Amino acid sequence: MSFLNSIPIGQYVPRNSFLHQCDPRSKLLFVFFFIIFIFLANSLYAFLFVAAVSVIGIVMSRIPVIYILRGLKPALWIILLTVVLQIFTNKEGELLFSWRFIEIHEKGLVNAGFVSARIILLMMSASLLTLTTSPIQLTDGLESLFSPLRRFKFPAHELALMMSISLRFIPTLLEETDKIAKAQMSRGASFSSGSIVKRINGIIPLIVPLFVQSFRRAEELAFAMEARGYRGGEGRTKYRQLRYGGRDAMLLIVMIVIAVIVLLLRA
Amino acid sequence: MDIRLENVKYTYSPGTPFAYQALQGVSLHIPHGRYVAIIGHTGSGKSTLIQLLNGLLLPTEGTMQVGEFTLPPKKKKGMEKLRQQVGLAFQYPEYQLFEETVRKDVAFGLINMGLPPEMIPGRVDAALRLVGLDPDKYGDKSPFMLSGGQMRRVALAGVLVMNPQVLILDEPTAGLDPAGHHAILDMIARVHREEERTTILVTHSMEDAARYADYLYVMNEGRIWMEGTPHQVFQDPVKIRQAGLELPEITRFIFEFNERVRISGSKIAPLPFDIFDAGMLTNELARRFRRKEGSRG
Repeated sequence: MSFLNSIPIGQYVPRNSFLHQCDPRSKLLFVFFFIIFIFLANSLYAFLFVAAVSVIGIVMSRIPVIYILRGLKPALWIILLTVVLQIFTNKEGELLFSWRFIEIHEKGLVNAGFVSARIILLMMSASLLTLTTSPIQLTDGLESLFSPLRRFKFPAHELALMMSISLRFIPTLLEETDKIAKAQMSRGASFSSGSIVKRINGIIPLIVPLFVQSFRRAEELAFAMEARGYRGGEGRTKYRQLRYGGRDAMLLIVMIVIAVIVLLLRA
Repeated sequence: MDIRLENVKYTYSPGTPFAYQALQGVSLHIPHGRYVAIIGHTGSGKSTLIQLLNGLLLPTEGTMQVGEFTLPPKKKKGMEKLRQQVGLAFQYPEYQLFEETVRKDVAFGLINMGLPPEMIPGRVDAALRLVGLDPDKYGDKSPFMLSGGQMRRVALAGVLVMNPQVLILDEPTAGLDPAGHHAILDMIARVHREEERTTILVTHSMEDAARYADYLYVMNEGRIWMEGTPHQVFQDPVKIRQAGLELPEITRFIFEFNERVRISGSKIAPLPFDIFDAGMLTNELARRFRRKEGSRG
């Protein structure tokens, strides 16, 4: 079992596409509003339209489709669950099928389709954002978007820093988990066999060292930051400044067009 | 327990853009009871090789025989049995400690082996004594309250307690001070002698490899670059440097000494290359100079 093989979803893929070059802030806002439109779309045509927009986005990003499909994998169970719930519990519309206590109604099938398509579109647009935007850009973008809230004591810089630190340590933690798991397996531990109770107990030899190490690492990082004179975002300047450009204006126009079309197509 | 590898290859994440072939065809034979050192610079494939030996990784190509186990196995079951016989202590093994007390942590492997509970305390205490920790003094302490060197010993005891036929140690002294370094390696050498098992030491240090091992494997770019007794391997300093490694200090001294003697045309006999110990070198030198003094008078 190697945790390294299961590269986490939505990992940044460097390319040189239109979407890669947009300002992270405009991409964040675009995705935010686009997700709202996905929920607003309630007719078949509106739906087909937002789906088409996402497909165009994927094509424009020049990211292999396999990466995007892989990003959908974790949502598979949620989709399956909602589909099953919708089909078997929704009692509206025409009765299509019944066998003993199981009844399948027309509305249930339609809703199942809509809900699962919605989840898929949601995951697709969110992963398109993280696939085309490096974590640093993403956190910079968030920090910049939230910075007006600083007036109300909202810790924008601190939150952005926390986010970038946690993103930075995901691969490290995966590597660490892999190493500790192997060490415990060498001592006869088994993580993939036995009863559920046994398996849960089996996690302890993995979790405890992982926490111990993470605390140690956090402390070291804090010391290192203090030693280099870190004192929060006060007066900090950036080498790479975020700037809106022509692409972002285009993105804005596209956004407005999408908004109008979705609202027109709504049932 | 003999170990035999037949053209074994290993690729990480095969079939993805991240694919990386760490072992490019390794064949070797380690007879039972040998103290072997595997040397190589970072990324030469050492760690991959040792993980293959206890079945944590399975060869992507080629076959290997570890005692009665043939890898890759026909079925996945029974790998725990292999891991009981091939004990592997990773780098910085103290990071795997997790239990409330030292004794409980050392017992972890035995519990996994399914040893009858009444046999466990005796073996745990014996393993602690073996690594030089007094079980009565440290046994009931939390492992996290110990010093780094003591934690290392506890972690090694956790591997030794399973009484493996083959003991693999990946840089067991990384990050220790010189005293701790030698204490650990001397302990391992003692265990090797007393308990007749195969010991495989992975190290960067030419000194340690020369001093403790009977047989060396030098790895470079996923292949066995050189092999032989320390004496044989260190005959070829050029090839060693090509692998990104250096000769032991003492061997470098002998090389330079012999070179000077040769150039000066002195009658002093060249020093043999199989000296890896300061005491022995002193004796050899003393003998040569005594003879010289004698011939002059």
